[in-house]
Amino acid sequence: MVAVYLFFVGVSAGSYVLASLPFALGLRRYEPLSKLALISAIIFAILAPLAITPHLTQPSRLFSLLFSFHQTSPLSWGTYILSAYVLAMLAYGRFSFRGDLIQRMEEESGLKASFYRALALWQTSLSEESLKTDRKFAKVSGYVALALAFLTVYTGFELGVIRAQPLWHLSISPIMFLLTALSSGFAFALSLYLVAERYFSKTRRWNMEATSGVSILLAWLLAAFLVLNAMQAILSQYTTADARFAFEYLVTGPLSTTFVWVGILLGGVVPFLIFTMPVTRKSPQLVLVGSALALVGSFATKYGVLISAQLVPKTGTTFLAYTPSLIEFAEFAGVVSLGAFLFTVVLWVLPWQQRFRLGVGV
Amino acid sequence: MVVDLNKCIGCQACTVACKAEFNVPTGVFRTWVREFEDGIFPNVKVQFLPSLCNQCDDPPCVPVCPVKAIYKQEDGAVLIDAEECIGCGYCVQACPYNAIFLNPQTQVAEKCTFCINRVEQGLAPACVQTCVGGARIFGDLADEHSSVSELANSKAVQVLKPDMGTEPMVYYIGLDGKLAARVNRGGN
Repeated sequence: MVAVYLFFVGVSAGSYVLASLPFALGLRRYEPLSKLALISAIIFAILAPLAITPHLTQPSRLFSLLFSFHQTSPLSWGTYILSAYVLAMLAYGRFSFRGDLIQRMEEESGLKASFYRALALWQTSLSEESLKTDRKFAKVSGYVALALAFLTVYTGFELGVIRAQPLWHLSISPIMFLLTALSSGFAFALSLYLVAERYFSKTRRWNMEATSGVSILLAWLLAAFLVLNAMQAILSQYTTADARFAFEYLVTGPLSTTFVWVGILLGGVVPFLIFTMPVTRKSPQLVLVGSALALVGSFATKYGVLISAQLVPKTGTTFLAYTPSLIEFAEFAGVVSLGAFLFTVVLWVLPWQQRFRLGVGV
Repeated sequence: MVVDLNKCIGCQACTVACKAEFNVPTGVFRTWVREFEDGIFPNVKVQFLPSLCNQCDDPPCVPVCPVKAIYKQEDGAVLIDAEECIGCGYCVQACPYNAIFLNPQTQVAEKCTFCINRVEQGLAPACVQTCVGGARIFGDLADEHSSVSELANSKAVQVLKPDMGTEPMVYYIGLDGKLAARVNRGGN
């Protein structure tokens, strides 16, 4: 479940970066995906701590993380970063979605209208002054959340600071986490957009300019992901004997299929080719397949590195074995089911298709 | 603590004494004796390595704990506050010596404390008290007249994984050659 937690934090951060491209860099071609990307970012950021909680042997003490800051522990920093990140995104969502909520409220009547009024926190004015306030707060909270999205790279430090695990203790670990966060977040938001537009929207039409644009970004990110993995392979040969051995065990040991075949080839090379070639990039179905593979690749490489390192004995010669238990499978299924439920409800309830233009990109 | 590997006979009396002292559940250990086989039949020998928390001077488990449940006392003992530990297992990963485990009964991280409960009463640690061969010698390393200091200063002593820079407070006599290589380089 630690791998799931690391993966979810990455998907959230990457999704939010995609959501912020229109307002942060003025890249308006990605606007059709930005609301869904924001929804993904918030849901995954909420799911991430839920994924790690069963891993604690004292889950009831989870909240003590908030009350005992330890400046040298990346996990302690992460608690505050993730909490602030969720709050900033919720604030950004509230201010940037308010216009859409009010539009929907005006389209509905009775209980439904009251529901959307409540979601807008009973501020239903669309006067220029109130929109100006929305713009101001959306901008501030949007940039704060963007900064915090990049700070979620703390997950890379969580592994990188562990000297006792040479496979984790590589200086490129945080960069690798940042890169896989972007690729997995972009891939998930793109998948969600393709599925949601097909099955949940009224228009049932994809904006191919946005889809193609994200595909090109993904091609670059996957290229960088592959290059960084090659760099990791080379660097591990020239650091310490332990690091060299740990990396060789990763690519030849019990996790080699997960890391090399699923993570690098199926989840890196194949989607890279799909997103690079214009013929495949223009097919929404193939883009959906490519995005799904990129997601699988991101998870598989994280899982491979996380588990393989722990199988190598720190001292001595007896290798360890690991097979996920039924309980761990159940926990995984529970978190994924909860995620699927949240996405279904949110896509059903929130006016993600409304095109109210606040003026900050969403 | 100084551990003289030349005197260890691998009887595991220390393991049992520790288990009895702290009611350590099956499958996990505060201290244990590892066995390493060396040579090719018929010229083989078994070497023993008593293992425990090294009470490092620069313990890597302490800085990573998110709730400050692990701390180092002024006397050098590295301890875990069972009331604060959330059981995240981060310290388990950070320890290069596999000396920390999550107790399946108490559900918190646990490790050797050099029997601080006994030492405060003027007793020797349970493993030292029970060692048949007198392989474990415990005392105050800061006191140059203590037996442990004299041993550490007069004999050739080694520590586990010196490249980790943790400055262990457990010194070994006789940890050299192939055994040192096998212990210090995990897996390879």
